[in-house]
Amino acid sequence: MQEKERIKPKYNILQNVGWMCRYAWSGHKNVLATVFLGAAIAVGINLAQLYIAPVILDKVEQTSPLSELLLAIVFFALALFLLTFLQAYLEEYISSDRISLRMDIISDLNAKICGISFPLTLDPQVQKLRDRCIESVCSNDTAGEHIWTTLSTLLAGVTGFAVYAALLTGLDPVLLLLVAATSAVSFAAVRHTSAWRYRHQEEEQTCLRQSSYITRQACSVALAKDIRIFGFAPWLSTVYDGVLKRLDRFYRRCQAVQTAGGAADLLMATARNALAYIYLIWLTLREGLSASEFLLYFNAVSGFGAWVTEILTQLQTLRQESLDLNAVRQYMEYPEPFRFEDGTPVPRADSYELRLEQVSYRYPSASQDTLHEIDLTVRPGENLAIVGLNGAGKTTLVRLLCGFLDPTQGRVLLNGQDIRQYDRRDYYTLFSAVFQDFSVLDATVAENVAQSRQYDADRVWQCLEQAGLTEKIRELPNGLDTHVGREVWEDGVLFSGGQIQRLMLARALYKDGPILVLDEPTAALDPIAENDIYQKYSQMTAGKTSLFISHRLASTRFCDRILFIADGRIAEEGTHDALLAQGGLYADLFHVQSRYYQEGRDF
Amino acid sequence: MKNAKNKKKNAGQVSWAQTLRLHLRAIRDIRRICPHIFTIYALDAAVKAVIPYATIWFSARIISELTLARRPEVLWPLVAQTAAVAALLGLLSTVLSEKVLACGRSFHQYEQKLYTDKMFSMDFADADRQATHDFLFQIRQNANWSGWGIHNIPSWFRQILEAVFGIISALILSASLFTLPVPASAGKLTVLNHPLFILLLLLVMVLITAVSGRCASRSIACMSRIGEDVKLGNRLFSFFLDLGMVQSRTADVRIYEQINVARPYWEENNIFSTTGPISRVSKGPMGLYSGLSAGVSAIFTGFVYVFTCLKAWAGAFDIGSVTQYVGAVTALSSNVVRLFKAAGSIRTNASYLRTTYEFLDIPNSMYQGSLTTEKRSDRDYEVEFQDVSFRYPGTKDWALRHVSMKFRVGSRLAVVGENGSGKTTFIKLLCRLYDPDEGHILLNGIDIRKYDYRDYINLFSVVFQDFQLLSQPLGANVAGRADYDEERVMKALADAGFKDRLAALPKGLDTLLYREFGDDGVNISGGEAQKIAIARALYKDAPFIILDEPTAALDPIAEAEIYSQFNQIVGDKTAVYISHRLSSCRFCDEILVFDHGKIVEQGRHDDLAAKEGGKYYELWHAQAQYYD
Repeated sequence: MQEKERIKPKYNILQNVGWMCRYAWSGHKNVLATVFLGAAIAVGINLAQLYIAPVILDKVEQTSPLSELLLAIVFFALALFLLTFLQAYLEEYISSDRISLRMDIISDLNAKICGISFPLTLDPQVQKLRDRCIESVCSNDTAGEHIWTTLSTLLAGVTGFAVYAALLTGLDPVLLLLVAATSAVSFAAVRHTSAWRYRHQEEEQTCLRQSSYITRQACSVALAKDIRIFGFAPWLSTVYDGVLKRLDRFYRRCQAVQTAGGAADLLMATARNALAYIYLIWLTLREGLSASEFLLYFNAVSGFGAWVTEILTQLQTLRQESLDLNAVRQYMEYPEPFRFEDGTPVPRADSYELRLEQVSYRYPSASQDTLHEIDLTVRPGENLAIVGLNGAGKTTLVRLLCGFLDPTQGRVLLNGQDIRQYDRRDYYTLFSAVFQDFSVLDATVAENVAQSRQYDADRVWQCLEQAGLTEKIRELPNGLDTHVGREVWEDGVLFSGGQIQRLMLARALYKDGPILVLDEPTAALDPIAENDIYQKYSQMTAGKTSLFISHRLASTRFCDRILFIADGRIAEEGTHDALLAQGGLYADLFHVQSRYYQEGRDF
Repeated sequence: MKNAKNKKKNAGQVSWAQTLRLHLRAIRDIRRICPHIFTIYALDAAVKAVIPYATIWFSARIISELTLARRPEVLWPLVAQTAAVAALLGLLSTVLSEKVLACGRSFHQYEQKLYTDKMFSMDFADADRQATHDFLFQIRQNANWSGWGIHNIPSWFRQILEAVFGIISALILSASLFTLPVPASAGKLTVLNHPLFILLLLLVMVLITAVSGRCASRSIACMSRIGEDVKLGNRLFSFFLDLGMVQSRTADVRIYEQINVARPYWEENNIFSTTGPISRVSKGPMGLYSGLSAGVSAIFTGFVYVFTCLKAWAGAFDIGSVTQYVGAVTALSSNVVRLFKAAGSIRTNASYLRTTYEFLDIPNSMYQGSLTTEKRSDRDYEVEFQDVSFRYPGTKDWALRHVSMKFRVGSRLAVVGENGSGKTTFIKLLCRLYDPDEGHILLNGIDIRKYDYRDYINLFSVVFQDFQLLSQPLGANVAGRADYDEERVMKALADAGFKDRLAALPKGLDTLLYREFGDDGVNISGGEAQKIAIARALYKDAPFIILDEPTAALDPIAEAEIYSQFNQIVGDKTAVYISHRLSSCRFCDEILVFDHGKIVEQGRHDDLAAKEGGKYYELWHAQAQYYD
């Protein structure tokens, strides 16, 4: 947090306000208009309330004709009615526009989040920045929306200040200076507390994140089993209590700081009022002001102080909101290590050859390379298997081939051209993939297969058939149009692990990219289903290059070539038979796995 | 939609007596989690209620003095008193406000614990039911949307007290408005002395209050009418945002450009768009009602001015008193509005609160047995399934049908079958996460429902396929508690093959797993997680150890290690394996083959594998052919 304050923000307050105004100008001009209108109404209400009592009391004091008295009352009552009506109406009226504008920002922000270069998604700094952005636009009272209220209130404050200053010109300027001074001290107190809050918000956020983690876990059905089997409830309850205690302690500390600030503010306000009383009573006694004039001046003097505090407070809020917006802009403009729109499109070809040339890769902040000087050519149409122990570097290799990571040394070439020059999004279109981590959409079955809102139903069925999911989908009440998942849809279907894996496979087949990547695609399947997929493998990969990553060695049989990865290097390569004949690591591994399947062996 | 309608009908049926009962119960529950909250809120309400009247009273005194005698010896002490009282009450109010703030924030957090505790303690069958999750989702949504449920009860309590104190103070300050007569010299205006005027003023007040309240509730009702649209819109919005925030989605999101599916979904249901439902109501009826509700109080202020000024004009009292009466009567009205609003909210809240308690009152039917499972030193247990059938609540198809089998402690049992054939369900019934619909499960000849639940479940250690580790220290994850026997935990981890990795962890057993609970957390791979889960099962040291696909994420070497050591680790315990890798069956004394919810074969590997045309034969050869 503190470091955030130290780094000079890229954009200043005016630039950030300007940025928001540009959003408003394109599509939400209402929002801009109501900043001014809202300020005008606020000042209007304030003035009506300032004058109502003195004017009416003056009529009574002077015993003016009754009609005049009544007229004055009717005038003020109507004015107040209209203005408060407008104010409340305007607040409702503009709320949806303001949210809508904020949604535009979120939409743009999310596009950036979903598209940002993959390595940046692994970078904790960038993750932090992203989380901060979301926090800055996630609700009505965060910078992305509240800034309009801040601006409107600030504008009202400045206008009100000017009007009151004009009103009070007849009074001793020393009094006004004193009033302004007490207001400034009040503001300093308020600022001290809010700065404290700002500095310490990370503490609160940490606890809140922990708390929401636990409440989320409480809803996990998978965890529910473990909780009951292992009797975890008391442990989790204690952990939660710990979080809540820390939060409670934090709020108490807040309370202490805020009470001190509040008390200082209050004493200043009391001093200001006392000062106003003393001066104005003295003035009234000396110059014979009427009681209603006294009342007007008294209210005006304390109102004047309130405007000063208001302006200072709003400026402070604006400054913090500008910092938040600055973070949003910095993320949205975060320099991309990959090329996207500025890259060249991938030249379309009949076949694609992928080559790794002396490729090494080291994860940021790691002390050694995960992959060392790999040379590898994946020939067009080749079915390549990548096997190896856990942690050997298989996943990293796939990430490099798919263009998720760029090598720290060496090059990845597509048909002889370095892939770094291409529009990375275009490069991704070459790949159909089933990764170990997947993203099931809360959309219909068909949309999950087609990954698009428009789809060819026949082809969807065909892919489901190949993945062995037809039967299940036919059973569903709405067939292809059945929604997946319960987070969004109350009637959504919940698939088992094996079914999801088949759905992901169908999705890869539908995409029909020239390069098929399958990372452990059968881990959750039973032997018959697994065998079924293996049987169809050559059909699925017909005319395609395929990468099959697995530690079930049976699956590598039908691949043209097997790479055995160990310690970040290609330790062995060849066909299954050649590797067995070689009698190296692969053969060892295969024997370990296969001995259980061979008849007549004892254990 | 149909449900929503039913609910609305029910909502109308909550009587005042029921409303009161529900809220009293909630107050008791709130006091249990936050003992002092009501005391603090009450004190704050009292001070907050008195402050405006103190200000009104003192300023009225000063103005009165200024209108009349203007005696300095009266004015100066009055100013001193005003300042002193303002400072004192103000300080008190500041202290209490901050206390209320801190207390309220803590309370909102502690409230969540009521629900998580319930989730942790309810029967698994309930925790597994979608309806339960929908319930909780609804409760949270109600709270987030407008504080319905338990959420706002303390602040309504404060509002009611503040209103009541405020009304009393207002009555005291304004009593003389009605009692001080217009002097006879005022001629026609003496008519103001007629008690009917008191009634008239009251009537206007009631009318205005009613109109204002009615408009406010109409305005709120506009929002609840579009509740269903809003709910869907909000959910789609979360889904849209989730796409970028969930780490496991990052690769797919890029390869399949998933934002192109998610974005239109959100945009089509963008409840906040300028033409969306929220915009329609907020620019239309909702805005108007809200405006009227706020505006009408100005009309009432006008009435009060007319009445008091006329009396003052006629000479009933001075203008200092006018300020006092106007202040007091308008404050009286706003307090009446506040009182009605809070009462209305509580009335509306009753049906929401009922939902909350329906959730919290979900009964525990599992906890009825009382027999203790004897802690037999010989660990001689026998389990028997007698014609057991089971189907998941709300489904038509039997997940298990007529299952009968028997096994003794100390044996190794393998459970195999295709996905969805009933293997995991069998395990869930065995460890009593569910009770059978038909038939009995016996432990040493006694129906397992007769045993104390906790006692019975303690007989089992299970590594489920979808086991979960928590973002907590490694040692605590293994032991399931924060204070544990380090040596035993180390041994369990070593037995599970995690020894080397443990040695490489900087903080050893205190290493935090995952990042959710702190930035210094360590990310572990699927294989490592599986080893930790196995260690957890070993640490529990129960007579039955059950492994559901325990090696799915492990490579062949790690798998072989686990297998080869398991016999020795398991020792005299009973081990049950569920696995798609049939190689594990060869360790086992007995194999159960499931197909469509039934046990179709039972026996030893050699016999079953030789039985051509059998299910096991089919499964075995589907896999073994690749390892010839």
